[in-house]
Amino acid sequence: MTDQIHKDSIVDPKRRNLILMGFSGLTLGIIARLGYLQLLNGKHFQVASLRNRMREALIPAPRGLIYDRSGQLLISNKMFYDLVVTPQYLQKREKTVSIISKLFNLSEDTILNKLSESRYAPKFLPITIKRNLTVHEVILLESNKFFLPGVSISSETRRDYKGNESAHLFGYISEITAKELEVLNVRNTKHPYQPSFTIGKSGIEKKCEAHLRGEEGKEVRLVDAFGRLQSTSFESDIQKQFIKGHNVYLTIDKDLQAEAEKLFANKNGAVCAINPQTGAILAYLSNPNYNLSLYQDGLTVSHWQSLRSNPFHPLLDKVTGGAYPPGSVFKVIPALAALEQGIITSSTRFTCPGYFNLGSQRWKCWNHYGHGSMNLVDAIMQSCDVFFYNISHQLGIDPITKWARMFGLGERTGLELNMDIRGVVPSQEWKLQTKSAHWQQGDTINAGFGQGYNTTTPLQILNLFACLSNGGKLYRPYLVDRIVDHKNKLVEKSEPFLVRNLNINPSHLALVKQGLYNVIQAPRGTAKLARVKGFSVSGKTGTAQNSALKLTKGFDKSELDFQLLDHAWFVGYTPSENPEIAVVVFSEFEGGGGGRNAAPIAQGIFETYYRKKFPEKFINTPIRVSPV
Amino acid sequence: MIVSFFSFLKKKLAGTPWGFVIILLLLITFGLINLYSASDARINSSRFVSQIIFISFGLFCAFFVGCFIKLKTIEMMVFPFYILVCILLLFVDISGSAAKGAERWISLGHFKLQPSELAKIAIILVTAKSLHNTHIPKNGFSLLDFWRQFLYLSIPFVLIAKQPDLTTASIILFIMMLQLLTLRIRVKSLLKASCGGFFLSLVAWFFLLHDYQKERILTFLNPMHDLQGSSYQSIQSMIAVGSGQWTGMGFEKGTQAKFKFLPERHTDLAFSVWGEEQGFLGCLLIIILYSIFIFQIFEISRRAEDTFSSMVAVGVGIFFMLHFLINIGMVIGIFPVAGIPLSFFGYGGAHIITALLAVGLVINVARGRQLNV
Repeated sequence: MTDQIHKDSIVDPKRRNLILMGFSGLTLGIIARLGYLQLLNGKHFQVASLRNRMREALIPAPRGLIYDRSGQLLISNKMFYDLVVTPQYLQKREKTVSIISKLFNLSEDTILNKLSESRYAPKFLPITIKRNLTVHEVILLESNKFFLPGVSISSETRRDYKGNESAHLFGYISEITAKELEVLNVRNTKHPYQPSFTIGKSGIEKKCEAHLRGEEGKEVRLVDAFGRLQSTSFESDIQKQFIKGHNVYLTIDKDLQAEAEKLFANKNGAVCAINPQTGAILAYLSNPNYNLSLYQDGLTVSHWQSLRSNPFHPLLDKVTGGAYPPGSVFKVIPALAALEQGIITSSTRFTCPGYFNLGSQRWKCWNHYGHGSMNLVDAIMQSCDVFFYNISHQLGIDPITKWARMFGLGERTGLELNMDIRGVVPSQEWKLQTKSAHWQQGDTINAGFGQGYNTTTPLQILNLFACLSNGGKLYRPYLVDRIVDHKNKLVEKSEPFLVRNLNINPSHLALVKQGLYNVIQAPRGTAKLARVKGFSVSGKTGTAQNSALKLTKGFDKSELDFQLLDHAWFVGYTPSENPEIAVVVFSEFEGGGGGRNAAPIAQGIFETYYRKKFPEKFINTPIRVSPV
Repeated sequence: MIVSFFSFLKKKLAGTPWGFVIILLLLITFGLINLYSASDARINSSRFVSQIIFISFGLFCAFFVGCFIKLKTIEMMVFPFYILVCILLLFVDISGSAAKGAERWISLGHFKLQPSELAKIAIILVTAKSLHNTHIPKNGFSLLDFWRQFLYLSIPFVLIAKQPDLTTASIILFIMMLQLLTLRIRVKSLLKASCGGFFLSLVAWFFLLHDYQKERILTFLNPMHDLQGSSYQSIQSMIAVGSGQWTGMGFEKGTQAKFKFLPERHTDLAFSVWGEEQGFLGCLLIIILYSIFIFQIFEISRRAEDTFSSMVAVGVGIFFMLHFLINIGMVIGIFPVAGIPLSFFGYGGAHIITALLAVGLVINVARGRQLNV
């Protein structure tokens, strides 16, 4: 053993202790830092940790239902089934995609596109591949589920459209846009809308959006760092069950609405019925209609283009959004104005030779042979143009303007549905401002029989006649009768709203109403087709001429033929004293008079109304099956 | 026969520092408990089982090195071991450049050999051995006296830095430098060296470092430097540790780890899981155990009779000290997360076996030369 044992180490004890002291100091620093993180800021980091893994998910609430006045369902919901893929659980992506493509007859590209569109969303959020599966398709997936991890069926409550609902009345729903989100959330701070929410975009769905939408439920989900769902059963006070939307009861009468839809099926234009004593709307229809489910299922470009390019404008609500020359239905305005101004009395007579001369201009009566000597009641009954040329000429434009405006023309009806446009009641100032020209005497003649610059919406005309028929009380039309919450508790109830009482001399009113009665009930009336056996009906026909379009420059020649056709109007009410229902029928590009083409539709609605009210009186009368 | 085996064992185990071994076993136990949670062993136990195998093998190595090999044999093996490690490092570099990417392992079937970990021990041993016969100059050492030691360091340092694994390269540099600092070096010489070091680091910054390495250093200086990228790990680690508060969320209940927000949770940031689940008190327990462990190693070094023994023990002490400080520094958001495990806590065979080999060396030193003869 020649081991060399080094008794002394060269390691310096002081320097070694210095290192140990440094170590001790740093260790104390670590403990201090741990205390700072865990004890002083522990709560803060606990929140940060929670925020890491918590995701709030909103559960959409089913929209409220829409009923008619008597509680019959108009728009309901149904459970729909969609094919969804949840990326979190997806295995063997390519194989799965090819199986789905075969089972559900979709191209693989479509599926892959949908998957890649959502690739930045959290992995637990399902991606919809195909909407509205049939029962057969649901069973098909259920039986193949074993081979398709990550593929499943998701169910959602959506509007159950039959396809023939009056689209303009109910309105469509679709995904909220960024701009709507911004605007709506200014008011909605309590339950803000989120992107991808569905909202009502028109009609009742829009008007009652705040009631119909309900309250979204909230679910807290725990996710891991890759956005994969870990659990949903997490105790939290944020958790909330959704609350169904409020149910809306409309003033609409389902049977009258159905009758209007049936009778007006092949025509373009608008039909509307109202209770003249309250302003409650009983039927509301604009044609051409479109299928609301087009929007719910996501409007495709081709559908959108076909709706847009349709010359009959299916997207326009013609009841409140279309302004048309009123034609002869307007004649009640100069008639009342002349009576009230004292220009004529019941016995004042004008002779109609078939034309009216003013200066070098000549206006023809629709009856070129002339009506002969006419008083007011006869002139209304036969819609003698010359009689009204005469009284308009004597009145001047100002009283006509005044009375038209008193009856609500030229102003919004206050229905607040869709556009609710004003239309035009021309006046001297109006012409100066919009046409930069002075009012001519000829303009007054045109205005007096509802042509010229006059444009009105069908609803305005209806409300005008409703006001006339009830003795001069102008009500604001309304559609929503009452709103109840999901527990059937009343939230809101509408009451008739009187806009103004016109205080018309009852004898003047009676005179005009006599004329309107004769239009239907007298042998020489223009709208005998509106008669209902056993009941009194009053009304007025109109044929609005569209010929001015012929002169418009740059008008497409191919559209000219039907665009030249006249609009047919009929507006009436029944019974003639204390009316219960008033109806307007506006048939666009009808090409014929209102008496022949529009009155029978109103007749059908009147008859349906009475058939429902007094079924015993109609035992022997068969229901008319085919529209006239 | 059995009796003779026991007496043999008794003889071999004589002088073993049992207090030290108990602290070691406590640390290993807590490390394993933590890894069980951090590696989701309830779902997939393969990592946990591997770690137990590594530890068992490592403990066997420690036992063997500590009790069955003479210190003189170890002394003799230092240079062959050093050369072997250098060859392995060279091999990794060559195969790594062939694979056109960072490569730190040699694949041996199921196991991967990571020679850079062994280099840590090689440097400790080579430094100790090369200083064995040195005498202290009158005024203390000048740093230039250690040119041989720096030369021995330079070969593995360059090979490891080229992998590129700047972290491990720095670790072996720091181990050796701290080892040398336990010697009586003139203060003047140290001041000169630190000025030179500053100059060299400037050169390194502008000419030698990769962009991602610079990024790491920037994060090092300001952990909130890049919230999405390199700081993400630090922030998630701080969230995990901080939300542990006094007593922690409970074993296997740490959500940062369970929901995988915490990266490197079974390796570098294993201690974050401990902090989240066991809280401040749990952390304090480990810190105290580790401090005792390191103080014990230094005490063993103090008692060692010769330069080689005490330098080996002090080197191993520094080895554990650096891993402990840097790793916990990463966990509490002071250092960037840079691939330095907390010994006995992080998963990984190379480090655990290296650490237990180092423990074996300390046990051997503690038992003293007479007993080993």
